[in-house]
Amino acid sequence: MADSDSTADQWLEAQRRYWDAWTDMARRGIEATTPAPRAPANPWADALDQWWKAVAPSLPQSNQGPFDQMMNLGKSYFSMAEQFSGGGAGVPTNPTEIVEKWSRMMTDAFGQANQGLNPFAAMAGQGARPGKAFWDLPLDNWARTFSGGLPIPGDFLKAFDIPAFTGEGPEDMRARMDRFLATPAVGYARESQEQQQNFVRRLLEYEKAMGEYQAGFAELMAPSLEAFRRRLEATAKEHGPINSIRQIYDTWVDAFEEVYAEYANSDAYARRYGGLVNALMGVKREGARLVDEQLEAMNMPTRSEIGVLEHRLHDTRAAYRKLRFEAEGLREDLDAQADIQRETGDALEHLRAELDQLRAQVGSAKPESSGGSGKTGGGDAAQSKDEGEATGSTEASKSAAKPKPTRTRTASPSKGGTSGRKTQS
Amino acid sequence: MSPIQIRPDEALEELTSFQRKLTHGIQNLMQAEEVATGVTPKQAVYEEDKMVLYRFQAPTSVVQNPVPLLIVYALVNRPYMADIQENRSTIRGLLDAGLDVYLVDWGYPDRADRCLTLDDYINGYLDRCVDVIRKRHKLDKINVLGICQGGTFSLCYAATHPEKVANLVTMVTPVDFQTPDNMLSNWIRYVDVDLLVDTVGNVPGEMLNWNFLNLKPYRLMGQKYLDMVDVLDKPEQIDSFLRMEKWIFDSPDQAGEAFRQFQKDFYQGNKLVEGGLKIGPHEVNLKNVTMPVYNVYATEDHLVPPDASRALKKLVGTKDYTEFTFKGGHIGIYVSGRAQKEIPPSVARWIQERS
Repeated sequence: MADSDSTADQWLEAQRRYWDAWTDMARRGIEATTPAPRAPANPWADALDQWWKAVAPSLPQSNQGPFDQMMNLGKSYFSMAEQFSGGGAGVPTNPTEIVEKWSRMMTDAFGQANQGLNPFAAMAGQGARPGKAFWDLPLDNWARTFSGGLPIPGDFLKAFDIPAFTGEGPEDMRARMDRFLATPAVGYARESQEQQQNFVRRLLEYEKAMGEYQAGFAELMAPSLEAFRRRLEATAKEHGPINSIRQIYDTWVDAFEEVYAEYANSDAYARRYGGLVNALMGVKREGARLVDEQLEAMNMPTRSEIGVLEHRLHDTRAAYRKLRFEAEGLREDLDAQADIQRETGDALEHLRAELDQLRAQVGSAKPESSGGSGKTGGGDAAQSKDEGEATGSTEASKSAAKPKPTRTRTASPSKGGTSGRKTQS
Repeated sequence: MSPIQIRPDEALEELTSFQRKLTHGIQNLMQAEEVATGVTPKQAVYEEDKMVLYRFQAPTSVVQNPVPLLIVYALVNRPYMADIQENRSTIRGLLDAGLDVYLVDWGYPDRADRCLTLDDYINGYLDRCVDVIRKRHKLDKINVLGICQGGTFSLCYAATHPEKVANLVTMVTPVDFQTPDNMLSNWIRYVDVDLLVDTVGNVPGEMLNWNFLNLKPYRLMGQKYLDMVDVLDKPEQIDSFLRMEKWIFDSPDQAGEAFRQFQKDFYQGNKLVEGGLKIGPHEVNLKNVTMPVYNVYATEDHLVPPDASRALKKLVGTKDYTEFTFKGGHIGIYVSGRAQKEIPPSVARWIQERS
């Protein structure tokens, strides 16, 4: 922490000196008729960069990503402010100049942060296109997202930037590729040569699709800047002149989002996007085929073989699950049947016992009906006992009979659940 | 007149303020801890493969509705969005309002799961979760709440298993996948989905993220981080920001076969509206959704445009259909302060009225 504090102090001191110089420059710029000399660099951004490098390692690893992004934009923000409000002289006054300066400034400010993140730019001849970088934010993100997913490293595609190495133009490179592709595949390695040619064809298709995709964004530049100009004028007209760097930035974001959204929802974009994804998948699939060839040659399992096994395993699991649920359903049905049988048996036992008692009762009642009042007390006692037993039997009988509807009710959901499972499988 | 008039002293003041926030905020940043995900205590009650069914712990002081509510989240991103922090938790709000809340967590599919289909997810995992809850509570039907793609799944489930769903709540749920303002739908139109899935197997979460971020690229990949400087001096807001950032980039890969059908049948075919949708052996007809339906959508939703959700009204078979309009976006509907006050109580009230 002490180190970071010390670095922060140095940064603040650097800024203080810079402010002094900047204020002085601005004052002279206002006084002078010629443009004020421009500071060679922005010490704020530089010091911020150094400071961030010093403190970043002490941050929790999980927080690094968003804050790296934030600091990058923070540095650009400082550069932006420095360039855009660097004194009275050199600051444009009419909307067209403002937009032009803004465009240049955004390219400078954000371009550096994005350098090296787009391995496809050189392929599509985008290196020299003005406005690359922040304008191409979606594109850069695409490159970062997908270069790692290619069967070959992203840098490999960069190697297609032939002029950087040989001085040849893109047309020369294309001609060389065409010659390679036109060479008929013959002989022992015919199949292998064809596969490699297919792979290169897919790469060239991808290059073409990427070029078209990027061209779409390039076409957005003019309408986006025009929208930005319109918004600046509208804001100034409605609320007075803009006097904050942040407000300009926010206006710029709104304008570009507006134009981008319209384009991204168009059929033209859908076709270019679809073309790009399909072309990339074409490259990956051919690459995977080549890898499979090598694996097969080494007697190792290939991706396509594993794919087949995955499908078979899935189908087997589905069949197993279906059988398991059917078995469970049958078991539940059997259990329910067994319950019914057991309870029916119990009920029968009770009924039989009750019948026996009734018989005994009837048997014992016969002598009484034939007279003999002397046995009345005993008879009452026996009757009372029998009644008690009979009552008990009746209750037992009721309890034996009672579960039937309950059983039916409890069995229903279970059966329903079983049949549901059966259906789902 | 120039539309921009920035005096050097004003610019200096602005930059000083920016720098001050950055310097002081960085101290807070360095003290920020690893963000935890999901804040309400919960218990796993059923697991199958990578799927886990959780039951959330309800406050003891609240009388619970006897019919539990199962939350079905999307396969995209993680469900802790609905329980992201103490004071911004849809789940906590539902519990406080007296609902007994369960949640399906689909997990992170890997290569072993690439053959999982929508049939496996909806008629398999989801149906078994519903059965587990029905059995635990000895009920024929339970309440279901589907979020985003999970809402679409819930609709398919309710249409094919209406006997198990008492009330259905859908939140920011796409139904009509081809409304004119649906940018994601436009992007997938010319994509060869079969080629994509056959090539990559599972669809990488990064690819989905790329698409989501590019719905508003300048805002989501640029402006948002400058906005963050404004809150760097507030530790609790740093924490909130980091939680959101973690959630946004916490994107599980998509099981290839499920992705294939979802893109082809829902986005490209719009079969939920046009008809002809089959999930496994079941034909999905929204006219079979005869239970009460509560459809919550957000007016500023850039992922699921309001019209995509509102289409449900004309398609369901129920006569008890209610809409709730939230003024906010797709994420704000779970995490904004206003959403906490509006959404869970209204959902709970609607369910309690039908219990």
